[in-house]
Amino acid sequence: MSSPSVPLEARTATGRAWRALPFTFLLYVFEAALATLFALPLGLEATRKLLGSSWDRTQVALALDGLVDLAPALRVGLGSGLLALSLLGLLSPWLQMSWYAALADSRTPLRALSDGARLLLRAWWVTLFVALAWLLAAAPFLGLAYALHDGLRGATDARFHDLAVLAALAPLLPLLLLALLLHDLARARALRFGALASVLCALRVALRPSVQLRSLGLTLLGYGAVWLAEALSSAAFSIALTVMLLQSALLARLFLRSLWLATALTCMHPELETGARQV
Amino acid sequence: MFRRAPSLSTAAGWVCVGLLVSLACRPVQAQLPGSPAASGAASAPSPQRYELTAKLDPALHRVEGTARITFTNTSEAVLEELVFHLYLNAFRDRESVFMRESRGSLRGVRVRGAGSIKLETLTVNAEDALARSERELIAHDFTQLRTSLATPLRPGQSVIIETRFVATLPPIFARSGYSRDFFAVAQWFPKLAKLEPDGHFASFPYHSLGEFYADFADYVLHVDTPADLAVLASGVLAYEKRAGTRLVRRFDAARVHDLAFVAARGFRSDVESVDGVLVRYLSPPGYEGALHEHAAVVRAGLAHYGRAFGAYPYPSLSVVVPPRGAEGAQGMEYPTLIMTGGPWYDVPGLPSLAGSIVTAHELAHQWFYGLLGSNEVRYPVLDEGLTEWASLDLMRTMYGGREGLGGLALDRFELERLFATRLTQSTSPGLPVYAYAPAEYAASVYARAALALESIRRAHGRERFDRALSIYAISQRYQHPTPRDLEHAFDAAYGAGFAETTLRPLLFEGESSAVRLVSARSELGDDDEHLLHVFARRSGKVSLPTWLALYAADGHELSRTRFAAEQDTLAVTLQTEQPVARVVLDPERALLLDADAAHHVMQLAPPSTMSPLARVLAFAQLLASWAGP
Repeated sequence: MSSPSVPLEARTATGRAWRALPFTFLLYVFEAALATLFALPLGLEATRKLLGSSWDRTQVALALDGLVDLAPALRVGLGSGLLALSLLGLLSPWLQMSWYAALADSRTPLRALSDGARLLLRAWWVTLFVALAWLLAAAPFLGLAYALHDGLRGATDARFHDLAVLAALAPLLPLLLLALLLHDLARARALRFGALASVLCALRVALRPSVQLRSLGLTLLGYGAVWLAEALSSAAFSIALTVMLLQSALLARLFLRSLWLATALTCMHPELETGARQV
Repeated sequence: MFRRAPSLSTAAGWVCVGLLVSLACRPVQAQLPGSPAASGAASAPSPQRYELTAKLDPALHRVEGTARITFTNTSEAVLEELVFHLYLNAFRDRESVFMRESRGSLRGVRVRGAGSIKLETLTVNAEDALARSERELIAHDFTQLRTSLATPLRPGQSVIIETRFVATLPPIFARSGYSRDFFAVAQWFPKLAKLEPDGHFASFPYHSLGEFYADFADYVLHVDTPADLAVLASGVLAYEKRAGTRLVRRFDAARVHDLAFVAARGFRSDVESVDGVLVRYLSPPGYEGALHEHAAVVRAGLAHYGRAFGAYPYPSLSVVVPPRGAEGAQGMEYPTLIMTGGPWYDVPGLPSLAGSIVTAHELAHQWFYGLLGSNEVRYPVLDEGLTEWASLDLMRTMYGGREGLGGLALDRFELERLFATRLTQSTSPGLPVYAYAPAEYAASVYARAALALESIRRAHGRERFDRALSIYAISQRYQHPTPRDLEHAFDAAYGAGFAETTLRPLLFEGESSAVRLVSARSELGDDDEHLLHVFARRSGKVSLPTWLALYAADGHELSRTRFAAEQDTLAVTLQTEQPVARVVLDPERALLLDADAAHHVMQLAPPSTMSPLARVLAFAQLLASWAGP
């Protein structure tokens, strides 16, 4: 029996992203629905407690009281949020492979989901291999941080202790970003190849500065859009306009994410650059 | 500007100090009672005198000490006994009152070892008194010692008490102890209980929430430590003398009621002069950044508290930052020596998180506790409550609206209100410490008391309030005030009866003052003028004056109407040029003991505002996208 594989069209990354917009939009709707489920009660409570027009002393006092009163709703929201996010985390491999399938070829979202399901196991193996790789890379730094903490624990100079431990841990963040990049690239490759081979191949590509920059750039652009929408949603705006701004930004962010995944697809299947069609 | 080089107002004294460091022992002009630099300190010697020696053994975490106490019967009665505090015995075992009350934990720090104080000898006028002493005044608690006098002591007569003792320091847990090369030596010597005018000793076991109470006395301390340990103590450094690998330092403290010292290896020492007060700092390495903030608070605090409560009378002040691992010693006050706290870094925009508030608090204690030696066990509100208010007032003066989150200026008193009325259960601040459950102590004695005072200040105006506190602080200097003395001061400033109707119920009895907006109805008058019918009501035992304010939709204030203290209800019809969008009772936020601010506001027109719902949902979607593909 041959391992599952998805055909790829020759197309630019931008073209893929636009082509896969229906799937991207469905994903957006799914995430919005899930978020609404666990955040709506908290959001309604927050609106009731924190509504105000001018931030005078009374309004600040009301807001502080409101924050305290939100504690029960926050606890409930956190609990249900954790559940929802865990569920999403479990579904994430399937959804991502489906997304890649939608980006790879002209297909309906349903077909993409079906293709994604076939590749689910491979996706989980990719996650496992990347996680192991990150742990192996992070282990020396974690070990160093622990050794420094243990050795300097008795030191009078707390600043030196804290800065030394932070310095030892500092590489973990770029390592994590690299691991996430590797993860995306490996899953893109896994559309047509095995998990381990995909990870090894992706490792070479992930180390290319151009790829790293593109990934980082598109990610920051996406968050930048959300931040801008948040900043523009001032108190003077109506709720309808606020919702429109924020949701547009979130959709734009998701689109930029799909653009990145499409780029990853192109990077991991260089035969597509020649325009050749693979079956 | 904070600087390392010493600079004193009395140049001659500093020349002497400089010579002493390099030459053999030569006593400098000590800051003894009567010397010019001790202006404001006692002009006459105190009736009580302690001459202490302390030899610190860092390896054994022990202090071998001697005390020669000149004790004068200042009461009206003949004394037949003496009572001493032996505070360190609170850490002797798990059976003491302190350990049973605290269950081995104080302010988040757990006990990690034992400590004790053992008297080897005790004589009164050269006669042995130890054999007939009673050490266990409360079962299993050895923090008090009572000894009968061979000869009764008449009023005005004195005795000489001499003792040799060994104080074993515990790992720092509750104020005293050691942490590696840092030694906070406090409550380390046998101290006479406070002699009250009627002849009884106000003694008590060492309570976990309680602190201390003693007579004012003149202290002389000789501290013998290894030469590489820096030492700060209550009082002024008179001289230091090298003896081989050790250094003996003498400290003189006039008219104080306690004496503590700190010894540390590898710490940074700094000194500066602030308005004639020599301020010494001892901080761990790496602390330079945060130390600037502490120093700024000390400078501002000495001036601010001095103006409000009378000038700081002592020639010196020591500020110690305990190292990490010694958190149990943080946030503590001793006469002319404070232990502050906080991290080594500054938090931009939130200077209080760097420990400034701790410094402000402990510095204020130099007045409310240090100069006004109230009974901290029986009336904790007189030191902690007043100090808490004073430190928040200093923070307000120093940082005002510059401190905030997300651009909103933080009113620290609003945060106290949250703490005392919504997050925890607070009760009357006027109880003795042993009447509180640990969970309600801080909310009641610190927060609620500060709110009561601030409410009075905001409702009745700052001028009379400031005058009342000033009268109290200056008239009770070097005394042992009770709540009655504070009440007298407020009556003097506000008029007779004010304490009974307002101060006592709010500050000592835990009463509150609240108002509630019951209804607000708007209508158009015959000539199309905007009319608003408002009804408001009071609740709580105390009536504080406040205001009713009306606001337009754009937020600007349309009118303000007085809700006088004499009125139990307010029923008014008000005419405005524009429609009223919002009605607010107590717009100045004077009624801080009113737990629910929502009762003060009525929204007549829906606000065109922010949309928390949209933002919460957007944030949740962002979280979902992180978990998703």
